[in-house]
Amino acid sequence: MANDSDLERIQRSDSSMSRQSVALSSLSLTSAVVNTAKPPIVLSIGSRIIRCGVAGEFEPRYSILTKELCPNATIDQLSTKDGLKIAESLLKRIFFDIMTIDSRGGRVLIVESPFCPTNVRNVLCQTLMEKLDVGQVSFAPSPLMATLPFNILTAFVLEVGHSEVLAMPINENVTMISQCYLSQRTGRAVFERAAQLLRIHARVEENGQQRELSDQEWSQHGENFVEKFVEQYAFCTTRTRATEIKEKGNEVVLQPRTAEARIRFGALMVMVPGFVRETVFEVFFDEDDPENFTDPSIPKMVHNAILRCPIDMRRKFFESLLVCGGLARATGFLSRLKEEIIAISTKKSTICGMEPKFFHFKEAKAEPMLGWIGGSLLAACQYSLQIRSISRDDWNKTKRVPDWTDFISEAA
Amino acid sequence: MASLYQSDRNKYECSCGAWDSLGLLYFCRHCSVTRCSSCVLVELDCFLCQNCLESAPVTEARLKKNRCFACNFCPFCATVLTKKTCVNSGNTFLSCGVCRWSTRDAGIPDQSKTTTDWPMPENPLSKRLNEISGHFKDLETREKARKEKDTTKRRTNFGGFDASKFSDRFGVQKMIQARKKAIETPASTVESHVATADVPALPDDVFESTAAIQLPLNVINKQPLVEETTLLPVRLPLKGRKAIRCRKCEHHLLKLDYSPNAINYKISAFARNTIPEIRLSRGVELVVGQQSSILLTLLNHSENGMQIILTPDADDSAFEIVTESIDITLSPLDAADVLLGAEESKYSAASSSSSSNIVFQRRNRVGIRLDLCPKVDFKCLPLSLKFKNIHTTAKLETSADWKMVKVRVGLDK
Repeated sequence: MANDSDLERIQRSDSSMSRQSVALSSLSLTSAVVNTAKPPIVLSIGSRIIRCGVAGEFEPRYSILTKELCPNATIDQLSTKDGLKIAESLLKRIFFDIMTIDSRGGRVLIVESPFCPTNVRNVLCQTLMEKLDVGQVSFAPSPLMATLPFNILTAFVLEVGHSEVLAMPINENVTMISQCYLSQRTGRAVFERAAQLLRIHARVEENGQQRELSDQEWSQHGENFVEKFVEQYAFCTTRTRATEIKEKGNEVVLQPRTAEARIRFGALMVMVPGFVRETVFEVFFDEDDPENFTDPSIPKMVHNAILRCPIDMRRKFFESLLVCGGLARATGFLSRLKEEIIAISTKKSTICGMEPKFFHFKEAKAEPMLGWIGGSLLAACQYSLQIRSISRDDWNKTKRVPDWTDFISEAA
Repeated sequence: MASLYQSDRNKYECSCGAWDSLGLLYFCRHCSVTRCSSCVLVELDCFLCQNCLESAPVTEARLKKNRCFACNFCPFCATVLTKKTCVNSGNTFLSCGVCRWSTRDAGIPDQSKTTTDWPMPENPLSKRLNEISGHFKDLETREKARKEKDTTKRRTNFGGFDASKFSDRFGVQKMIQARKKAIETPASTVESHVATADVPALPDDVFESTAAIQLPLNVINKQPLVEETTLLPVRLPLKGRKAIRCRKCEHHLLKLDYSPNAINYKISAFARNTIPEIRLSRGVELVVGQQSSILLTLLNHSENGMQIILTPDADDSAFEIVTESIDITLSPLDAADVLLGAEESKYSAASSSSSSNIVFQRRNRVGIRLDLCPKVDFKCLPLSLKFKNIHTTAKLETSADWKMVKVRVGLDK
């Protein structure tokens, strides 16, 4: 029956969502501590931005830079021995100071990367259960959540994040973990490249003359300047222009000429040459950069990942590309990605020349928060969330968040 | 010298094993133990707008999504917007004093004087996402019905047994019919999004402009799905007022007065009011192998006198104890004595034994000298502080017991 097939697909899927329901349903339904009058809280804890909000709403209430919430630590330190203390101060600040919502007896859904280390998940769950008295915690993988706002079952999800770039194929709601691909060419690499280029090419305008930035000035304002430049002034240029800039370097003359950027740097005014604005994002697209990266470029990675999938799915994946993540909202990113994918496919004779198609919303640039929105849509379904969560009782018994592999061993 | 007064130099042990400075600890009189910020329950009892000081209870705040309807801040620089009146029409508009943005720039018409309802940014995806949300709720009902059907086992499987033909005496029929209906009704179909080859191209004007082509991240984060031209004022988030409870006995440790604007406490069970404060009186120069003295000051901040026994913690590896223990009785601080400048409190108790170790005793403080012989260089002096104070118990009829707390006094410069 067509109606049953949706449900069957969900149950058949080997993503964490449906597997958890099989093993824990008998235990988690007995939790009496949860306050169902309060809607669940959805958190997406990234290494650059933390998004938090209430389930059922269609945008996160607060999106905050992680370094503002963890001033002396980074998210990576959650897996160290200080992890519990860092997690406690982070989560208490999110609940009591930022969102001003009482965590006691509430339900929490955390949208995370599928490669989040197990001890980090355990630290987060332990802090939520023991220090914040939450009633029910669940974890959802962000590539799968990104497909929910589009109501699709098949997509090739490309998540371009700050510390991780992940390509994950999802076919008929089955997350194909063994065909996924990770890359070093992350948002962090873009910021590092921008810092290098700006240190060399930025010029201060003073008394009608131009000079370089001093080391002291750079150490004071450099970090903010780099972030401001990448977020507001840089863009992804076309393939032809990028190749010309790479060949000719600083002396390139392009048509149309890219204007210099005039940016405030502390109390000074700084000029940045036009080609730097176009070159910063080449970290994602530059195929031949053996000094800096051993990984292929992002469009090449998409090709390689799809080539690893069974032959009958490849065409389908090229026509269902889903890009999500913070830096995917950069001006010109999607069009350049499409251009590059076509250019690579014309070189390889095995991929026929079909046009890659993308899932995106025309009305708004929602790429950075697709994962969060998907989590909110899932968490709004009370029963579905409950059977995919670990309750307080389960936690007290096992003190461990169940992982996907737990269900395979339990079934065996 | 002033570094001796730093509160985080000297750490006290909490009942959970964590070490914290005295100012950050609480003392639960019902459990008679210390509590730190990690082992207490935090509650939000009242929500307050920072600008207009209007308060809201929990349920109302939840309806308002924890935002103040009357106060807004500028979408660009996050300064609170001021209401300005147009002289001609008497209508009001909001304006930012820092970056000069106003609601007129966003195209919002001036509102009447009494209105507090400035337009909220609309999520352009809300219609589509509402449809999808409805579809998911439908799938959830079917999943629930299917799971319940699977879990209930049929006790008998008699040939030709048809449950629906029997009368519904115990309400079982109703349940079965409802479940059947839930599974068999056709699921609502919502169209999936269609992938398109039409992606936003690089706009041509991006090459010519010297100005920023995208908004700053902190502006985007406040109104994530809104275009630049339609940025609207953002409602000010409410701040939650915290009340603190002991995790074990659930009594209040810290509670502000009922009025939302109050800054005085109704209940304040700070550890400082019960446990004596100890700090270094002078900087210390320790030489390994030589007997040296450490000068400490003990203060009593509580309202009652207390008896104290101070003992260095036996830790053979770091130092050799010379002074075994010091017995002190400390009187409380009397405000009248401070004003009158009296050196001795009128409560002054008899001076304690082992007076050779007491350097001075004045009102609520005493200076003591601890002799020890360090074996190695060490940074923290571990002490064991036994104290007796009627404040340590909530029950009036029982007399106070001796309580013990471990202290680490930082010896670093």
